[in-house]
Parts: sequence; structure tokens; C-alpha cells
Amino acid sequence: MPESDSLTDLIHRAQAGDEAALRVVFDATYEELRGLARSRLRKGNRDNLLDTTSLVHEAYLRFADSGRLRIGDREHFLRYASHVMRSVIVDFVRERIAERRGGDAVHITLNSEIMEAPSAGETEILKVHEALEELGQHDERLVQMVEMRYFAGMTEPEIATALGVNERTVRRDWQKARLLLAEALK
Amino acid sequence: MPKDPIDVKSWNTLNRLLDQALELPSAELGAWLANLPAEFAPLKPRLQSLLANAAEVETGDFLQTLPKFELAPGDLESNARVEKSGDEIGPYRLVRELGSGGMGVVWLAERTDGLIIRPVALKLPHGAWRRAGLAERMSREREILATLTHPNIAHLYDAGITPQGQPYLAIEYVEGTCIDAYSRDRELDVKARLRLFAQVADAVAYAHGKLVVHRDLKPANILVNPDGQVRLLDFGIAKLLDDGQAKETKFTEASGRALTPDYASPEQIVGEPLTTASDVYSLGVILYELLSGQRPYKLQRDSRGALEDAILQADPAPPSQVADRKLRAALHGDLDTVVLKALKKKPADRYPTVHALLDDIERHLLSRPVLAQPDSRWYRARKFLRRNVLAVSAYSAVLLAVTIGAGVAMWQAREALAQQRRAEEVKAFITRIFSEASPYTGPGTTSLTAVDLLKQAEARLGTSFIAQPEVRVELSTLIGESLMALGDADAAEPVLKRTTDEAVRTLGAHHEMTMRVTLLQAQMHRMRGRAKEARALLDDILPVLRADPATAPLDLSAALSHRTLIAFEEGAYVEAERFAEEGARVASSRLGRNHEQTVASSILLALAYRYTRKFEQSRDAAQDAYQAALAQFGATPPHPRVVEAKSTYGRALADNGEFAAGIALMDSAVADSRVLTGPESSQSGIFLQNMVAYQIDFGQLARAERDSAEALRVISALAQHESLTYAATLSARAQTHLARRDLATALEEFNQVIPILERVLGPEREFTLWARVCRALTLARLGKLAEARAEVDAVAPLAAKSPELEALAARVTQVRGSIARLRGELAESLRLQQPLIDKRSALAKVQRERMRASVDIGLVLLEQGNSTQAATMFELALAEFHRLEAEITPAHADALIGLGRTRLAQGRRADALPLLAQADAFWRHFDADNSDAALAAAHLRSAQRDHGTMRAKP
Repeated sequence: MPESDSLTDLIHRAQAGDEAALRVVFDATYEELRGLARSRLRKGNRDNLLDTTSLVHEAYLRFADSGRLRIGDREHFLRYASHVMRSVIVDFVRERIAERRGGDAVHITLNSEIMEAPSAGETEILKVHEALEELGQHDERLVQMVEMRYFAGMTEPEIATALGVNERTVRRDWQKARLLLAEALK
Repeated sequence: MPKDPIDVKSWNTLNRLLDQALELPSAELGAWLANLPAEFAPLKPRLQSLLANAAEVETGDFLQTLPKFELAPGDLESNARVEKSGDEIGPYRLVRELGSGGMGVVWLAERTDGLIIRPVALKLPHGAWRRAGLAERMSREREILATLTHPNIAHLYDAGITPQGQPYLAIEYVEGTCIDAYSRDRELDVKARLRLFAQVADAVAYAHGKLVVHRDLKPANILVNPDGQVRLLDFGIAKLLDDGQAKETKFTEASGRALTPDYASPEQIVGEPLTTASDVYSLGVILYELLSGQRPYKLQRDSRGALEDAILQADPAPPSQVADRKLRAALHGDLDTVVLKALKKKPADRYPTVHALLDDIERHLLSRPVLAQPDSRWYRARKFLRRNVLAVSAYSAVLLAVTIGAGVAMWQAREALAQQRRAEEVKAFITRIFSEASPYTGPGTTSLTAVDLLKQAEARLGTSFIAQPEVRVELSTLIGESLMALGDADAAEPVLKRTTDEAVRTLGAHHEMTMRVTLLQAQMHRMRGRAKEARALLDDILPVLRADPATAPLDLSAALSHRTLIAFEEGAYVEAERFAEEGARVASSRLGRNHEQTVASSILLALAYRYTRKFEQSRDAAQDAYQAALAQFGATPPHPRVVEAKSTYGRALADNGEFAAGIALMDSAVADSRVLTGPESSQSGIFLQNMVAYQIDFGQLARAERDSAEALRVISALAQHESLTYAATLSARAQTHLARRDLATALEEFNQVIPILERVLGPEREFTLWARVCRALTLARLGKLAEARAEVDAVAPLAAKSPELEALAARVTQVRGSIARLRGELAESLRLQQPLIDKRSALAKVQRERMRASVDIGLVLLEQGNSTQAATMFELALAEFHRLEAEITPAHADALIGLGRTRLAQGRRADALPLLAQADAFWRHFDADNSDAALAAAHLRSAQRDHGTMRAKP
């Protein structure tokens, strides 16, 4: 994969089913988002609430500034970046859980199991992620919807633009997705 | 979210209905659901469950925001640090950057305290590896890695973490070129490349001896200095860093963030624990590339996924096929074999140790043949077949008919099961030992296979920290035995060889431990079909073991058992009997009546007596074995030892004429075997096949028909047609057809099986000759009298060769008599068969010939008009049929018809009719389409007509 390939081209190729391109896009976006998230959380963000929306937008701007992304491809990028954001967050959560378990060589006792149990928030994130994996077999658009809304924190108008549907559809899909997820989270 | 898998169509409907429902105010949902058209009824419960959440979802803040979560501590550290020349990291000052890679940056550095002047390569792993626990891990591993002092391994001087949290690794600074570039630039020939590679392998083998696995072997980690000295970098470091890294999630894995796994082993790809075997694999890839200039896998598309698929599934082409034309001859053959063995998918199929790989490389460099076998499966199959053929090249035809393959097959099954059980114990034992002893086994690596652990243990023993030779020998004997128990004979062989040599050297030839490991080595040779080597070793140790039987009675008895089996394989039955008697005596007197080894010895003794035709003693030994096995293991669930003893005892009973009891036991052994090894196993097939001859003798022709068909079905799927097992099964089938008077089929089968027997067993063996006599009889019954006589005349002189062939000789005589009768040579027929009637023999087979001869003689006498004597003969025959057979058979029906005709001739029609009616009824039930059935019916009709005619007379 030549270095000079712009992210825009890669995204188009990825959409056309080019796996190698998809990998490169994913890697680049993943590193960018992960780096941004880390630096945000590090900067005295005491409550550890991640403003993923601004991260995704910031990533977009940084790619666009460096000329790797064409301005017109904002929607494509946001859609894709939401998907990547999901994996960034899921990985964060999994690493955190693994870390608390002590990485290696710790005898697990009843006490430590309780201490190491994932928090409610972490559990929610992982369950949503798993539910989406399954939902993806039936309805890719609903999955994208949840990624943008839940993981990337995008607004309904933003999502409507990115997906090329009207806001009413977004609202209804979001509600439908939440019904399905509520069932899965029970 | 679908709770259960839902098909696409239902999903689409559900989706559409949800859209409808969500348009409605929540108050109207109940009514909407209630009025749902019937066609949607199957989806209704699901809809109900989904919509139950509607109000909550509508009003609450469910999933409105991403929850808070913490970052792992490593993520909180700055990863923006940029080191520059002159910076101090722990006790080191950075001089210049050497490079950077996936895991971090490498600097040339020197110590600030000036204590040591030499420059070091300082590795600075970046943020991704800074995880809690790294510090402890580093201090733990550092000590192990620091013990690696080998001229071909770059030394790890130091590892630590600065107070600021920056981990560092100080490694010997090596100036050199990567091994692949070095070989290419200098245009090294194959031998020079192999010598370079040998340095690499030597270093890896050394590290394995210290229980350090490299895990990331690749040319970039193997430098060659200008003097041609190899240095391996980063030993154990991949492990050090890997452990700290959170497991890659499925998500990130799929997106391919990790490095390209060009040198990764299949187990690495699927995320299994890495062992020395993974390093063997990586060395295989490196060697492949060094020799051929190509990577092992040609990919259709250049992606990580394609490579992983190839590593997991594709068989690499031999290096000689992908190399430059001028290299092909040098690589073809041994080097192809060596490389492909290192690249086997399953760790157990690879070289068991790097030492073994190195040995083969060195052997090749010395122009000696390598030990790797190009195709071990074929090799093993060949050995197995050869063993089977040898095992059954028995002297006695009668015995062969019933014992073909079974003795050996049973022993193989016994050994396999004993091994399996022993393996479990050993596995537990070794796992316990090494999870405590090895720094590389903690939780998470418990899925290392026992073989892996044993190989590690072997390597560790090789580099020896154990001073006491006895302990060393004992441990490595245990390892060798365990490897054998786990079925890895390839790995066991060199271990046992080395251990034997070491035991002789350090403990002396007569030491108990030396005996033990020699015995194991003999067992290993025998299992691999090397009877001669095994016999030589056993003959070495037997005098020593016998001199003091109290010290190691189990070893003595086991050695005698192996010696017995070898004698079987060599056809030396008298010798086998002697060894078996001694083995059983030692076992029962020193180990106890019910000891497992005593059971095994008694089974062997029963087999030995059967081979030497001491049937009563065979039965007694088998009975001992069966009773002891039951006492030791109980009747249920079926224990393999009980099943073997049962089958042996059943056959011994049947050999002694106790057919009903014997067949019942054999039958039960078949059922057990089907449970233990499956109905399609060769053991089940052979056990079935073994019963058929007894069933024929016992007159159970319907069962013989069924079981011989099933045995043939099972065996022909497993055995080559050019094998004795198959031939014996087909022969049993032919005998069944002959007994059932399905003559055309029987002839076809005899014609098929006799050439096979002549090839795989030998033309003059009793079993082959027996089949030929049966073919002669088949031909005679088909009216092909000239052919029949030629056949039986060819067999006769061979059958007369030895008094051992008593039953065969009797059969020949009887068949000759039948043929003579059918040719109208009545006097000759009588002359031939008369002696059979007078013959007294304990052999059931000979008694059967007497019975057949009685029928034949009766027919001759009837034809000669001697009704009185004919009646006597037929009555004698019928009494014998009643005594010996469970059911009426065609031969029995012949006697019924013979006596019926005699009674007719005597004018006793009232007596004749029931006899003829019985024969007719039998045939109508048994095989109504048979020509003999028509004959029986004709005799009955004729008798009835005569009777009727008589009655019609006034």
C-alpha cells in the first residue's frame, strides 16, 4: 500500500470491498482516535467521561488538515469513524478489565473476583457491543445508527446527513434499536 | 435484538411491524398487538417482549450517553515522550538512535556510571507496553534471561523501569547483518547456509534447555557479524512484552493491527500458548527461506488473513520446488524432508526438539541420512501391516483361521489403553511438577500439552543441574516413558537411547534403572516393528533380571511378555510358550494373582498354548486371566483387560468344543469392543471375524452369514485387500457360503482369496491349503470334478508333510472321498474315508471330518445297496450333528435325506417320511431357491407319491 494514498481514496476503496484498504483506514483512524482519547482523558478529565463526539470531529479535522482526507468526505468519514470509535472504546474497556485482573499470574479468589468485576458502565458497553455483532447479521444500518449515536455521540441531524436519510427515520430507527438492545441487555 | 436465531424473512417482517408499532402512541400498543393479523402470530410473543420496553426507552435516558469508564493506567502515561541523544534512562546515556519498530525505539547507549565501558543497545518499549505489572515481570524475567550465556545469543545485561515509568532493556550491542541479507550478499552455497543455520539452532536449543522460548524468531533478529558469527537478539523479550499487553480483542485482530506473522507458527496464529515447538516451526520458516530464497506459502492475495489461512491450512511446497533451478538438486530429498518436518502444522509432528532438528542438519552436512521420515504415516502403516503379517504367519491352519490378527490386535489395543491411562497419570504428574518449576508456566499456559512439557523437561535435563546420576536417569526414563505413553514414539526414541547410554555409563549395565530403560527401549522398538532390535535388547537384560527376580518382578515379567510377543511374530511358538510360562509364573508368584500384569501374562500364555495346540492348557490359562481380570476390574463397565480376557477365554472354550459357552463369551466381547472402540474399529471387526469359524462349526449358519458379512464390511474399510486381515475375513465369508451351499458365491470368493493368501501368507501355509481344499469341495459340489480332483491332489502331499497338520490331512481325505464318490469311484471313496471313521482324535476339527465322512460313506453304501450299514452310518452322523451343532445345517439335512432314502430302500416309508419332511422344511426355511432345496423337495415328493401309490392299492 503506497503511503501517498489519501484516506479518501482508501475509504472509497474500502467501501468497494478492498480489504487491504479497509485495514489501512481502520489502522489510521484507530490510532488517531485512540491517541486523542487518551490525551483527553489524561488532561485532568476527572470524571472520565469521554466526549467521543468531539473526538471523532477532531480526528476528521486533523485528517483533513493534513490533506489526507477531502473535505467533501466528511459524512463518509464520520460514519466510518463511529465504527472505529466503537472498537477503540471496546478495547479500552477490555484492557481495563484485563488490567484489573492482573494481566498474568494472579490466583483468583472470591474477593478479587468481586474487586475485579467490571463496572456497570463497562458491562453495558460490552453488552451493547456484543448485541451489535449479532444485530449486524440482520441490519447493518441499525448497527451504524447505534455506533454513531451511542459510541460517537453524534446528533440526530448529523446522523441523518451522514446516512442520507431524514431525521424522522433516524429517530424511529434509534428507538427501534434501543428496544432491541434493551432486550439484549436484560 | 433477536434472542434466538431468527431467519431473514422473519426478521424483515418483525422489522416492518416494529416500524408500524413505533408510529403509534404507547397507549394504543396493547390494542394494536391484540388485533395483529393471524399470519403474524408466530412473531407476537417477540413483539410483546420488545414493546414492553417501549415506555421505558421512550422516557428514560436509556443508552442516551456512553457511560463513564476508566482508562488502563498504561494509557494514562504520556506516550509523547521523545528521547534525544544525551538523555539519561536509568543508568544509561543515549548515544544515537539505532532504529525503531513496532514495540519501541532502540538506542545505542552507554552506562553513565562508567562501570562498564561497552556500549549497549537500549530498547525503550513505548506506551502500549507500559502496563501495570511490567516492573515485576521484568525483574522476574531479567534473572532468567541474564542466565543465557551462549556465544550466539546477544546477552541481556539489564532490564528495569526508571522512576518515571520508562521501561528499558539493555542488550549486548551487536554489529552485523541480518542472516538473510548476509547469505544473499555473500552468495553462500547451501552448505555454508546450513552451517550458519546450525549456529542459530544451537543457540535456540541452548535457550530451550534453560526453558526460555524465543517466540519471535525471524531473520531480523538474527545478525551475522563480519567473522560469520551468528548472534540472536531479543531472546524471551517477546514474551516479556507480550504478557503485559492486554489480549488483542477480536475486533482489533480482525483489523490487522498486529505485525505480519510471517514466521509465526499455527499455534501462534490461533493464540495458543507458545512452546519450544513454536520456535522449531519458526526455525523451519527461516531455514526454508535461507535455502530456497522463498517464503513457504504462496499467497493468492497479499493480506494478513490470507497468510494466516495458509499457515493454518496450506501445505508448503518442498523448498526444492520453489528454489532456483541450480539449487534444486541440492535441496531435493533430505533437506526437503527436514524443512517440511519442522513446518508440520501439529507441534507433535515436528522435530520434538531443536536438538533433533540440529542433529539432522549436522547429519546432512556429514552426508549421512537424516532421521526425519518423508512420510511417517505411510511408514507407520507399512510397519503395522508388516507386523500383522508376521504376527499371523502361524504354522497351524486351524488356529490361524480363528486367531488371525487377533492376538496382536488385542495386544495393540491393550497397550494403547494402558498407555492412555498411564498417560493421564503422567500428565497430571508432569503438569504439576512443571507448573511449579518452570517460570513460563503460570495460569494461562496450563493448556500446554503434556508432550510440550515433556519436551521442555527433556531439554532442561539435557543441560543438567542434577548432580545425582540416578535421579537424572530416573527422570529422563520417566520422560521417555511418558512420551511413549502419549504416543510420540519419534520423541521418545532419542530420549530412551540417550538415557540408556547414560544409564550404562553412570550407573552400570546391571543397575536396576538401566534394566528399566532398556526394557522401555525394547518395547519402543517392538512397537515400531523392529523385532530384531527389541529381541537383542531383551536377551541382554533377561539374564540380569532373572538373576534377582525379587528386585524388579514387574520388569522381568514385562520383559518376558515382550519376548513372548516377539517369538509369536517370528513364528517361534515353542520358544513363545517357554517365555509365556515363565512370565506368567513370575507375575503370579511375585505380583499376585489379580495383578494387571498377571492378567496380561495369562492371556499371552493362553495364546501361546493355542499356537502349540495345547488347547486344555490354553483354556485353563485363559480362565485364570478372565477370573483375575474380573476380580481386579469388575464386569461393568467393560474394562479393556476384561474384554481381552473374555474373548481369549471364549475362544479357548470353543477350541475345546464348548461352542455355546465360548461363542457367548466372544459375542459379549464383541459387544464390549463396540462400546469401547466403536463398531467400525478394526478390533470390533476382528473379534467378529474370529467368531465366524466357530459359528460354522457350531452350525450357526445364519449368524455366521450375518457376522461374516458385517466383519467383511468393517474390515474392508480398514484393511488393504492385500493383507492377511482382509484375506482371513474374506476366507471366513467364503467358508460360510460353502457351508450354506451358496456354491457359486463361495467359488468366486475362494478364487479371490486364495491368490491373496498365497502372496501375503505363503502358498504352503496351512491356512492357504485349507482354503484350497474348501475350493476343491466347492468345485466338486458344482460338478466340476476334474478341477476339484486336481486341486485336492495338489494339496494332499503338502498336508501330509507334518503330523501337526492332522486336521488339514483329515479334511483332504474327506474331500477326496467325496470327489471319488461323485465320480462313481465308490470303492475308492470307501477306502479313503474308512480310516476317518476309525480315527480317534480330541480335535473338534477332526471329529467334524469323521461326521462328514459318515454321511459320505452312508451315501456310498446306499448306492451299493447296503442299506443296513448305510443306516448305521447315517444314524451315527445324525447323532454327531445333534451333539456338535446347535442348528440344522445343509450337511445335517444331507444326513436326514440319506437316512430317509435308506429307510425307503428298506421299505420303511413311515420312518422315511418325517426325515425327508424335516429336510424339506429346513431347506424351505433356510434357502428355498437353492438347488439342494429343490432336491430335498423332490425326495419328499417322491416318497409321498410312493406312499400314496401304495395306499391307493387295494
